[in-house]
Amino acid sequence: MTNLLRANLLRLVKSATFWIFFSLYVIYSIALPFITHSMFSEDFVARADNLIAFGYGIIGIPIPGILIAIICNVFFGVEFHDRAVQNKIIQGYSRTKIYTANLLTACVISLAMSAVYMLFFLTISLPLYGKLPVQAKDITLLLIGGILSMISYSSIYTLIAMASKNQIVAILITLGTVIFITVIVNSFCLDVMNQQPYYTGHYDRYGEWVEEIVENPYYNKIEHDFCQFILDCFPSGQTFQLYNYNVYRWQPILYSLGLLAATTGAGITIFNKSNIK
Amino acid sequence: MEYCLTVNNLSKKYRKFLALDGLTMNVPKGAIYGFIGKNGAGKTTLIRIICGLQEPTSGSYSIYGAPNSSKEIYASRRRMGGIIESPALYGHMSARDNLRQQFLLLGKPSFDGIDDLLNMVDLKNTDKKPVRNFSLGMRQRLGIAMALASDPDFVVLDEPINGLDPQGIVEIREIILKLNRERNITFLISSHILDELAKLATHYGFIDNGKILKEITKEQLEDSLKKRIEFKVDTDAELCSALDETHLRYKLTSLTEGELYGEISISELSDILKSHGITLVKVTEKDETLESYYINLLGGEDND
Repeated sequence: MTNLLRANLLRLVKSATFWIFFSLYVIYSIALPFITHSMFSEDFVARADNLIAFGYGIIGIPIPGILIAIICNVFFGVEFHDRAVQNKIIQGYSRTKIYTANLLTACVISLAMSAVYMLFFLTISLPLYGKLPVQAKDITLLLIGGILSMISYSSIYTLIAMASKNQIVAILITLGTVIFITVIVNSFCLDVMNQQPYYTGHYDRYGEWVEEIVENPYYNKIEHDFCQFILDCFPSGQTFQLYNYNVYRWQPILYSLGLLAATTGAGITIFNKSNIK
Repeated sequence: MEYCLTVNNLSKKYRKFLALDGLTMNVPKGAIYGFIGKNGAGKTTLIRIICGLQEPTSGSYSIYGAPNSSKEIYASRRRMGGIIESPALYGHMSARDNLRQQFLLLGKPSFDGIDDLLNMVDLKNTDKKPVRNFSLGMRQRLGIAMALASDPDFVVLDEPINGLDPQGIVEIREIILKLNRERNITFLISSHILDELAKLATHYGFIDNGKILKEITKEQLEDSLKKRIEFKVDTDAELCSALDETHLRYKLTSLTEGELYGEISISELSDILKSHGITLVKVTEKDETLESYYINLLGGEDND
């Protein structure tokens, strides 16, 4: 497996696609603190911890998720297009080892992107925004949650690339899924999540304004819990919560680990059973 | 005889299509095994299965004694190299970088040996030219170099000369012959370019409709293909002595019938037999090529 990983990493270092999309993320990481700082106003004041969360996406777009999708699908798609997977199998590697080495390579891509973002956070954002206004526990949750969500992206894209065995199909499936989840599911979930069980009503009672806690008729607990589950379960939802809510929870971490196990198990099973031409 | 590949009653079904139908074959060590069959006969399916790209529906095979169901098969495959349909090469990389990838995959401690391989397949001067800009012949040669990077004992080549120009065909042939003679590498070569295969193979397997019709050695095939005279005589007395006098190989199919392999005029044969008191009753001259042999074989099966 070490040999497979070494060969993958050498190919990654020589991959133009990797460097193009990695560079885009570097530009994003450098430009973001300056752009958000310049947008400071009474309504919008970014905090240093927001800047960490923005590494995983902004205004509803999971930037690194999309970049990792393209890199992974092109990188693994080439293996099928150029028949390199055949070669690895003929060289006596089991499919489980090939899949695992590819998954680890995808994780290396995610971790490299996380590392480069943190590097620029520490060198640009932190000096620009001052100290972090939240506790170390929250920062730890934010970082672990963020990195695991990036690894979840890697595991999902590895599964799609290795199961579809076709670069173009894999990219279309991935981007379609990202757009569907981001735009439709997350937006829908956000609407549902914004409904609270109670709200404060203001009444004019006999000429006097009265505040009263009122039950929200539009609130549905099952719907609310389901949407919370969807947001917690998938990396786009996890990162969506990170940069939207400023609330750092431990549940998405468990979901990420579960998703990693599920996608890896499914991916290895599918790849082991597939006929390769 | 020792075999590097034995296939036993192997079947492969794709939904309703039976690509391999209880195929049994043996590839002896050190052989150049010509695997002959028309398109869709099942050649590539079998090669994909033995290379581990697909699983058989039923039956078994073993490579260097390791059964396909055992974990040892992975170790046996490390003694193999192969090109299936087209070489597995990264198009955006140079020949040297492709070989570096292969060396890393094989866990070689250094890249020493890449120059030798490039020299052997005459690709040393391709520098940084990406493989996607190579001609078909260059790609095939690089594919062979990749397959040889592991110093394999057994190389599988699926249609290695398809689409090559005459010069490319000669180059590939010479490389295969050289490796077989100098390193005793066993080759399994599938092809439907029979004339070319006839210049290489030491053993043949004929496949049709997913079954092996016949496995024969080069010598057996040559016996069948050589100018052959089938004869019938009136008596078996002194027949062997008379036939020995022709200095040709012969085979008796009954007491008074047989076949002579080689060039001899019918009048000369008749004179020799007469000198031993034997009379020719019936005589037929036969002359076949590998192609006609193959067609006859298929025809024979079809008529069965």
